[in-house]
Order: sequence, then C-alpha cells, then structure tokens
Amino acid sequence: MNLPKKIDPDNLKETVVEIKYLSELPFEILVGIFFNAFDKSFNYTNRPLQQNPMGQGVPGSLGQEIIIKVGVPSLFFNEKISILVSPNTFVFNCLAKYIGWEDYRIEIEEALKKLMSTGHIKQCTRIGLRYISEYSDRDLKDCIKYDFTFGLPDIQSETSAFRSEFMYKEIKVILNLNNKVPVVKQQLSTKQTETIKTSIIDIDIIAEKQETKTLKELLSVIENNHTIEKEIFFGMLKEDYLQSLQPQY
Amino acid sequence: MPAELSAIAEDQSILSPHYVYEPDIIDSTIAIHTATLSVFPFRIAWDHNTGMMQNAGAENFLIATNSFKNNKQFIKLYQSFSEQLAMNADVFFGENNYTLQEKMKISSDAILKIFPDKVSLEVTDEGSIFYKIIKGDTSIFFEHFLIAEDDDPDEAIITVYQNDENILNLGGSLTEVINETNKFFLPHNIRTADFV
Repeated sequence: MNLPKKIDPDNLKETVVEIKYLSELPFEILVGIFFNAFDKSFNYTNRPLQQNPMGQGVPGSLGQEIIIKVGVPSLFFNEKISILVSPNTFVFNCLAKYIGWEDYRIEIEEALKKLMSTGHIKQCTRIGLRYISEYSDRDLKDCIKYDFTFGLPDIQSETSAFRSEFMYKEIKVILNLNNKVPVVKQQLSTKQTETIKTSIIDIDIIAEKQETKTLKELLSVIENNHTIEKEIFFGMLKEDYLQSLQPQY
Repeated sequence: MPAELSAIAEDQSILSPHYVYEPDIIDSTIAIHTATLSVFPFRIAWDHNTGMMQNAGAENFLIATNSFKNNKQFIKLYQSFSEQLAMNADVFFGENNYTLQEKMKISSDAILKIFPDKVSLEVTDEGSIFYKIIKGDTSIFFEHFLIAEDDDPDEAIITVYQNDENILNLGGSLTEVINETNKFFLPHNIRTADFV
C-alpha cells in the first residue's frame, strides 16, 4: 500500500508515543539522572503533589477502587515536544501542532538517545503509538468506509461510537470511532456559545511483551507502530476524501 | 535537583483520569456534551496513554484529548508564569522563585482539573496570578494572591459567569476557594495539597 507522507489538513489533535521501561533505580533518583542527561535541551516541571481523595462517601464513588501511584510524574519539554516521565513510562507528545513524523521521529530519537545513555533503562516492555484525529462539524460516514449502522439499518444515529480491538501484523490495535458528538464551545470574540458536532478517529497501536534493550530496536518498533497506524488510518479513508486532503507521497 | 521529587500516593489525577461521573451533578455546571450525559451515567477508567482504555463511549475521546491537552495547557501556563515572573522581579522582591512556582503549580493544577477549553494567566503588579478560563458557555476569573503576610495561607478570589449570568463569587484562603470551586465544578471534591 502506497502511504502518503503528508496530508493537509492532518486534523491530528494528539500524537502520543508511550514507552514502558524497567529500571532498577528508585524513580526519584532516576528523574535526577534524566534531568542531568537532558542537560539544557529540555525544560523541567511537574504537576503538584496531590492527596488521594479516596472517594469515600462521595456521590459517584460507588465501586471506585482506590488507586495508589508512586512518583510525581515529571514533565520535560522543549519547543516542539513534551515528555511525561512516570515511574515506568515515557510519554511523548507534540507540544502544539503536529510537527510531522520526520521531525517528530528525530525529536523522539534524540530524547531516547539521552535517556538510554544513562545506562539505567534495563529494557522496554511495551511500546504504544496513539494518534487521535478530530473533525469539527463533519460526519465520519463521508470520510471513512464505515457507515455506523447496526441491526436496524433504517435507524439513523444522531451520534455514534464504535470500538474494536484486533491484532494486525502481530501488533495490537485499538480503534475508536466517535461520530458527531455534540461539543459546546464558546467563541472568544462574541462570547456566544455554539454546539459543534465533533468526530474522532482514535487509533492506538501497541507492541506488547517486548524485551527491547537497545535504542536501535526501540526505534525500529516505534517506526513499525507508526507505519501500522498509517496503514489502518489511510486504509479506512474513502478515496475521494483522501484526495481532498491533497496527499503527498 | 528539585526537592519535591519524592514518592507519593497520588490522587486520581488528570494524568490518569479514573473518574466516576454523576451527570445530575455536573450537568448544570459543565456544559460539555450535556445531552449525552443527562441520559446515562458512565464510567471512565483511563489508566494508560495507549491501550487499556475501558468502557469506550462517545464521551471517551473528550476525556482522552482533554487529558493530553491538559498537560500542554499546564506547560504553557508554567512557561508564561516563568517569563512574567522574570519581568516582574521587583514585585516579588525578596520572594523565593521556587516557592512562587510551586504555588503557581497548585492553582494551575486545580484550575486544569475542570478541563478548560481555554486558559491564560497574567502576573499582576499586586503580586497575584490572574487566570482567565473558558469552558463551554462558562467564563471563570480566578485570582491567586502569591504574597501572604507572615505564615498566613495564600488567598484567592473566583468569579464565574455562565452565559453572562454571575453564578459564583467567592473569596478566602486558596485552599478554601479551590475546595469550593471543586465542589462547584467537579462531580466529587478533590482536596488540595497541604503545601499552601
């Protein structure tokens, strides 16, 4: 399949690459080591320390388990990307608009090179790539080869959600499609509110049970995940809609 | 090496939302896909950035994208505050920058818990942070006074308008204002940190 390198507009809202890693050091020590490894190429901040609300006696808390998490997630960021560093996870994302895979891949590679150079990442066990595209005021039925119908074909849904989990080339894929979900937005200029029917294509590609130990292996898995994401995304699009996005090959 | 990097028991934070939404409570205050919310309660369990997203529904993408966007908003607020702090050094003469930044993180984090569509901040010459927040048809103005007398807690003021109607005015300690704001906007109360 000939996959476009660029489309316009790309409609991408989130472009997440998540790597689960193992280390033998305590997290608070690791963050300091990562901070040093990044030198001045990334700024550092974090979200503040919070107490666990426990949910006891609170409306809506029925059946809600208590989640104990250790380690304040740290945020490293430069002008293009952010990296959320948690006790066993790196989460990369573009800081503002999507910068394109070529640039994004280079940014991820540079950051991983520094993180791996510390010698304290023993191995990476799971590598995910999740791209979320958002379409304002658009019916996905016009864009993709799926018509959101079910056992009663005469019924026209006002809003729909579809979720599928499947294996594709030995990689796990979670596909979420949301069609025409009403979202209230306020216009800054007029302060008037309007409801915009918003649709989403959310493709999550997950390489599980990995034992990746080198940077080269890690980048190869990330690249493969990205290729699969493109195959799923472009494979779903209707040809006429794809052509309207001025694909560049 | 920042001092706050210690192991903690974290709440169900924005970084990994695990909320139970109670439509009757948030329907009137959070103008986001209310038509759907008013029909059925739903549960979002969102433990990972990729994978493991349970109970998918039409609302999930909003939670998901808001979660990611929230960190971006936090970084923008942090950058803006740091720049303005440097420009207003005379206002904060004698104050410790690290402490000011940690205080800013607390009010910013509390504000971002209501998943604003848009948020900005301005450092005033009174030594406060003035946040402007838009969420759906709701406009929120939140002022956090950073310079407290002696060991008094920081103070804050919040004003909320929904479709030009003033629906909340509140002043007091930062902790009180954040807690009341949480009760107002969130389905359950998220307590604030002890730092303030």
